Amino acid sequence: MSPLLEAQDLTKRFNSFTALDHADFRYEGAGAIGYLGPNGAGKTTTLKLFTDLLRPTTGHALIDGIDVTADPKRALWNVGALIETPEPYPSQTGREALRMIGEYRGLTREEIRDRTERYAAELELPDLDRKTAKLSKGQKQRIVLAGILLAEPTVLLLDEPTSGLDPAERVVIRNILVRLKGEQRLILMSSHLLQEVTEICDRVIFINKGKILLQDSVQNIGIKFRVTRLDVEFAKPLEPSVLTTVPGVSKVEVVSPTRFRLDFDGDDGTRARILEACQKVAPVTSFSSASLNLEDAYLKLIQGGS
Amino acid sequence: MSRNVSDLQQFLTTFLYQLRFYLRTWRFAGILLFVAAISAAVLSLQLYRGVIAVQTTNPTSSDYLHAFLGNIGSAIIIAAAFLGGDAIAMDMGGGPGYLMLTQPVRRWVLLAGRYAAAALVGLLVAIAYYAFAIGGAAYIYGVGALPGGTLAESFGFAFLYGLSALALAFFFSSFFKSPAISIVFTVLIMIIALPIVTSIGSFTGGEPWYSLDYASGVISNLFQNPFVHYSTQSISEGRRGAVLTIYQWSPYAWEGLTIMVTYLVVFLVLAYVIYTRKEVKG
Repeated sequence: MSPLLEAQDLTKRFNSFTALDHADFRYEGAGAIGYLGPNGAGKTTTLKLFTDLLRPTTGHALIDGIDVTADPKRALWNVGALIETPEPYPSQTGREALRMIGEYRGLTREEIRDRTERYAAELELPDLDRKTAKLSKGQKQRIVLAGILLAEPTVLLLDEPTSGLDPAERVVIRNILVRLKGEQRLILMSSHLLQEVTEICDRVIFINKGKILLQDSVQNIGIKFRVTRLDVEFAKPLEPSVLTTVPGVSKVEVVSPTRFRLDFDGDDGTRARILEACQKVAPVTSFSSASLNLEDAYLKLIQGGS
Repeated sequence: MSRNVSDLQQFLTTFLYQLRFYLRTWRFAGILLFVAAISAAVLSLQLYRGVIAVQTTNPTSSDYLHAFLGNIGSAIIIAAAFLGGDAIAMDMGGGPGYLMLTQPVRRWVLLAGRYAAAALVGLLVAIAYYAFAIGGAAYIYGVGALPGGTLAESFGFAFLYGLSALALAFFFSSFFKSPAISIVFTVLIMIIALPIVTSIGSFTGGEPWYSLDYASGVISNLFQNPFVHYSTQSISEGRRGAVLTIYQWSPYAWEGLTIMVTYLVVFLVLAYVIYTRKEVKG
């Protein structure tokens, strides 16, 4: 059985600029994959290659085993894509735009009507009998999302799906994505919002400068980048140099003259020993500990470049 | 999960939504009103001034139709530029294109559906123009005097000319990302540049067989009797004594047909190639 989503040595060059550099990944089954990277990393390029908006310089973008470039109609049959800032045609009303998409997808009139009503409620769509030219960006985006979901596709390719939306609209979209993930669909979504990715996705791909740096489950990334952090507050100001000599501490960050952030690699025993050592330096008034989150892993990967 | 839909069904969907687009944006009504206004004005002038305006000593219905249909080429060009000027550009500037081109629809199906819708609107516009021409001729000369066969032939050429002009408009449209800029450019090129290209032949003496505008002459020349393929007119330039020679060419029917078919095939194929291969870079 072919994987639902597969990039085989996928490369895209624009003259001398390499937007995507020999990307390889394959995903099967249901779930949500976060596609993370800074602006210009190659996220949108990848999604465009998977929707036939761009053609690969080398390699293949395959959906359910079908090459998107060779047969886009068959490849995209069970795909809903939201790339960049899609909009309905401005001369259409929201209802017409949804009906047109439904007809292209082979839905019956009843299916289109029923699903339009369902998504109108769930996505809190604006008046569907107004011309879309008169709607806000967020309203248009929600109509487009309804259009994408109308055919209930198995694969969803979403390029920053909550970008440009207000906080309330973001919550609506996020809830829908969480629901869709539970309905045995495969979602590949690019995002800058790491919190959102943490909430929705169970796997992540990190990309920078066209190269995929890492792909793994969110859980495994947490283990791989496990660096424990201690926020320690002392009763009196200290020179940071006195803390760098504490055994197990790999990095000292000054938060204030009395407060320091200590990174260390190890388990709870190591943390207890570090706290004990800190008490010998000066009285500790408070402390808190936190594991490295996705954001730290992202920054570490992007800044480290590998 | 959606059901599989044939290319033909998707073609019909595209066709119907494009027709609705022409109705919704008032293009169809606008073009029809424009043609009706021009036709009514020409007809009124001819009726007011008498058929003598045809400028033959003993005018017939064919002379009248030759004169009336002499400007249909321009009307068709204007209609084609407005109908096809943004047909491809509407998908290439992002926005709607990101929605439309990520659907499981082959691009040639979209192109064919839009082209067919534009052709139907063009056909209705041509029918309106001919209705005025035939109505005027029937009123003045009587229904029995109408050259039915030639009229049908002329209408066929007018429709073919419209198809060729649409192919050219679709081709121009494939170069742009902004529908508004695309339509303005296409209108300017087709209304201003094409006649200029044709007029080169008037001054150099060479037959402008390369111009679509030139081919439109067939539509009215079918009514010309006797048919004159080539003539010259000398105009004195006053005291300097120089003489300016104007060369006037009229295409044979087979020439007009060849030019129209060539434009239709070449530019439709080019528009297809560009549209189906063009990337949406954003």
